[in-house]
Amino acid sequence: MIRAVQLQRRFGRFEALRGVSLQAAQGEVVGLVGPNGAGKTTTLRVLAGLLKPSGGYAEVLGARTDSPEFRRVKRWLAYLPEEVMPYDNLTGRAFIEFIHGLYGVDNMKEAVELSGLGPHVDDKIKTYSKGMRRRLVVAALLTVGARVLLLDEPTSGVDVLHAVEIRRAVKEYARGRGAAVMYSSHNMLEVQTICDRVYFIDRGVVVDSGTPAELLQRYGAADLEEAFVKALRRHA
Amino acid sequence: MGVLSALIVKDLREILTSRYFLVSLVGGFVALVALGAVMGASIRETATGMQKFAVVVNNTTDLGMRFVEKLRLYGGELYTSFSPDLLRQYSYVVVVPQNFTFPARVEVYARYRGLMSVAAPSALNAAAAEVAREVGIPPRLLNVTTRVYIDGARLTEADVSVLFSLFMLSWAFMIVVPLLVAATAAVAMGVEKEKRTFELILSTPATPNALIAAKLVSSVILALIQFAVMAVGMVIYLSNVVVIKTSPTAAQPFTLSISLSPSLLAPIALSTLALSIAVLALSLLVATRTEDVKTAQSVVPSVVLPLLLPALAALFAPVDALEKYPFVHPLAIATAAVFGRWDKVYLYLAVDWALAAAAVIAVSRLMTAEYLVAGGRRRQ
Repeated sequence: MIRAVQLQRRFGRFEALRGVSLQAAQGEVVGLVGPNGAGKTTTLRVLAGLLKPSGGYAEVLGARTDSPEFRRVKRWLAYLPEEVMPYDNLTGRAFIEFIHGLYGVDNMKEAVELSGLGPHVDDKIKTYSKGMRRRLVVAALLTVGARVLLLDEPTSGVDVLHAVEIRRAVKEYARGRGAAVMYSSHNMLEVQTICDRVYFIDRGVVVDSGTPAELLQRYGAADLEEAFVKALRRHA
Repeated sequence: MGVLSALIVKDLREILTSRYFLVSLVGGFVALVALGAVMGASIRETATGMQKFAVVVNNTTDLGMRFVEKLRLYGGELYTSFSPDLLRQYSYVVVVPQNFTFPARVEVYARYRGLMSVAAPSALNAAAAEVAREVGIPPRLLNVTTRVYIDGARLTEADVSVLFSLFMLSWAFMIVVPLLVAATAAVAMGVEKEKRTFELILSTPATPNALIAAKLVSSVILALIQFAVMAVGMVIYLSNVVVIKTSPTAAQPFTLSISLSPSLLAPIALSTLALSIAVLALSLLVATRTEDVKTAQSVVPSVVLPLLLPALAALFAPVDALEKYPFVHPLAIATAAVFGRWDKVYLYLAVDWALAAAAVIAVSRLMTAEYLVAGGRRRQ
């Protein structure tokens, strides 16, 4: 459902991606792990059709992301950018209506329930904490009926209890709806818990990939964090 | 003191190296200098025009002759009879009555050259004040009646009143509406930049063109709401001004006409709408280069304001010298409509809408998803 082949992307002289290849199948949660500036967000932006690759190509639901046909696919794609913040002067409910309106769906009840905002959903977003804002955006996007989810740090700023809820919701979404999920995170425990497969990315290339169990075994590591550090050292 | 200086140095470093600060700094300076240049040129032209005027005098009193002599010192050239042909050579013609005495009633025939031409020339009052001082009587004893001509035809007082109202109205349209539109566009785009929502929106089925169209429509609606509120305030303001102007000491009582017909107002509104769309497209483009609402609000007006300088100058300068400039078209169209020059009205409206269409097409071509997200142009 998601496939990238030798993706390259330059910004001026800077090579953000130098040949990233990866894929995610139906019902699969795939982790993207790497240090800051490794190319995770650029990869997700290319997969979302926001950036055109300088080389290689990416396909989502069978359509190349730089082709005119990709417009049709976007109905089934939901991308959560890392730094996005909902509008201060809208209520949580109005923001969900806005997102659902873009996709032509009306799934308010499920979104409110998933957000965990309760009665605060009718408060203005400027009264929300950072975690509440993040939960609101995640809930709005997880209820548009997408078949492909691109999630960039979905639990960033969210407290532990709600982060667990979001992870559970994403996992259930992938399993229940057969969606392909690309999940970028700095939280190794989170990646180890939720992801079926993991890609280690550094300086614009994939340095290793596999299931969390395979990576632990390959590097003789106690956890994914240790495996990640060893992979980067070996690659360096 | 160490903490204070560290904080100050940090602020100065951060702000002085901000390109947005530098843009607004340089933009403000350039706008000020340009405004001064345009205003200065206009005022010089007006002043030059006022140096050459005709004085028609035929057997007047001694006091009248002293007044005529003063007018000659201000640049007046003498004639013994009035003819409309004089208005082709001079901006205005002063007719000194045979029974001139203070308080004096003086008729001035003026060629319509913008709002300033319907006001009493300052040379008359200055000359009268000098004569009054010399003979030892109180000044301000001159009652000027202005007869305005355009293309050889004389305007009635009602015509002048409508012109005055149209002038004030279209001037507000030329300046206020584009600035409101620019400010609204700055907020609309600045919010998206500040909240990093472009990525979110453009990854949904929404296209960049849909986003731009939505911003155009919503900004125009918001600007119209703002303008409607301001227009009500302006009518109240002008009605107060009218009360002052109709006082017995006023040289020429202009009244605010409330009988502006839809056929006059519609072309002004259509021209303003077209120009606002062009300004809006430019403002949206500029705002995408900023990072937050505050920056957008300071940078966008500094880019738009220089475009409106001729409209500011139109209050002081002859309109016909500026009317080819699009942002003066609401006023030029209003004037043309009053005198039935519909060919000019339609021509300017066509130019305005062509400009709006070109601006929208250019911006929609430039503002791709890639441009909005990464700030770059579409890769070829």
